[in-house]
Amino acid sequence: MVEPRILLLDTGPLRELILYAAVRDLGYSRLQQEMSFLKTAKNYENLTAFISLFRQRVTTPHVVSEVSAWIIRTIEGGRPLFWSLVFDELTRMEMNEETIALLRMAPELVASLGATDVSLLKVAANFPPGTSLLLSVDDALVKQCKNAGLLALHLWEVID
Amino acid sequence: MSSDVEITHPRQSRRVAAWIYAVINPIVEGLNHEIGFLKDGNLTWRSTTKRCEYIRPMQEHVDSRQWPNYKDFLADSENSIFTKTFAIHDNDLAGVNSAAEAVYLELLSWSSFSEEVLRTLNSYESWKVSNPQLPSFNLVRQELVQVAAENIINNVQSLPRHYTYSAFWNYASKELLPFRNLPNFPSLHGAQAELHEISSALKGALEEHRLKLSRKYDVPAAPIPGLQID
Repeated sequence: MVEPRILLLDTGPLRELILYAAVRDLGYSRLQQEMSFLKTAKNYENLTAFISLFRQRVTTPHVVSEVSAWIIRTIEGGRPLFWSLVFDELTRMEMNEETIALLRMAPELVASLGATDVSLLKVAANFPPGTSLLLSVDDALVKQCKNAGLLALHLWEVID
Repeated sequence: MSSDVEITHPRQSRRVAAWIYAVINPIVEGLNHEIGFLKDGNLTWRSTTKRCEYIRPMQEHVDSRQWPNYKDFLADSENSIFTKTFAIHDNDLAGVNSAAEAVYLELLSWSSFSEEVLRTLNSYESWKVSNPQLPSFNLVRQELVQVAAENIINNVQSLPRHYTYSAFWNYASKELLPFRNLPNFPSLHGAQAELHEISSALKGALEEHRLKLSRKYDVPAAPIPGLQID
């Protein structure tokens, strides 16, 4: 059996990683309430250990746009420093971005799941079968991936 | 007598509110982070940019859309003391950046350093045999020397496991961090101590100044939702 070596990260897990680093490294304690999953150091340890098992970490520009919109909504003061943290985090985990143009997506799928989820589905489908795994906090997307024969896990399954 | 209740605010209160909310508060927050990093000896210096990532020149703590307010703050005689102290801070920071770069280049050009990193890498690779899930770094030996030099400069004790070089660094840090005691480090430590001193003094002075402005112009130290300053 082929071991998945590429991890696809959806907005939720990425946002949690960024939040955790912001609270830990930059002392943004008020952001603690924004964290829905990484409630304990053990949760964080489990997630980072899981990510470390993959040789490649990949996301899509759609995911990055969602992270960006969330930062604009959430961070009022100290945005330059916060963005530094985001760049740092993505650089240090050597995150790649795979572009999938909207016009190459199936319109009915976009209407149902949204462009971000479809971008991840398409990227996952472009890799050889069994070589990639999607990590998300979106039940519908995880289900959709599994139905399509793609490997996918909900963040809970990794951090608990 | 008019029945209208007129609320008069001291002259310039809106302008002072802009100084406090858009200039002083973000800078104080930035200095808080900066002091925390300096206390841990973590300069957050990056070899790619040749500068400290989270320790910034004063102006960079302010959102670029607010730079006119930053300039107005420094131009007003009420805040004149900060023109000089901000410049001292930024000058000290430039000193730290250049001292860090000098140490980095010295470490990279010093053969004993790369030999020690590679010796530790060999030890890691042997240990990895019994931990096959760990990545090998044999193909990125040169990058590893650079990463080690940067982590030594930043006094990084350990890295989160999802960072690419964490497996090696978390194995090797105890053996490699003592390079910080070498004779080429005192200039960096000195520059860092000077920066720490000015940052702490600046943070205290800005907080005191904020209190003074707040009292003089009747402007709260942080925005209150629903309270307009006319």
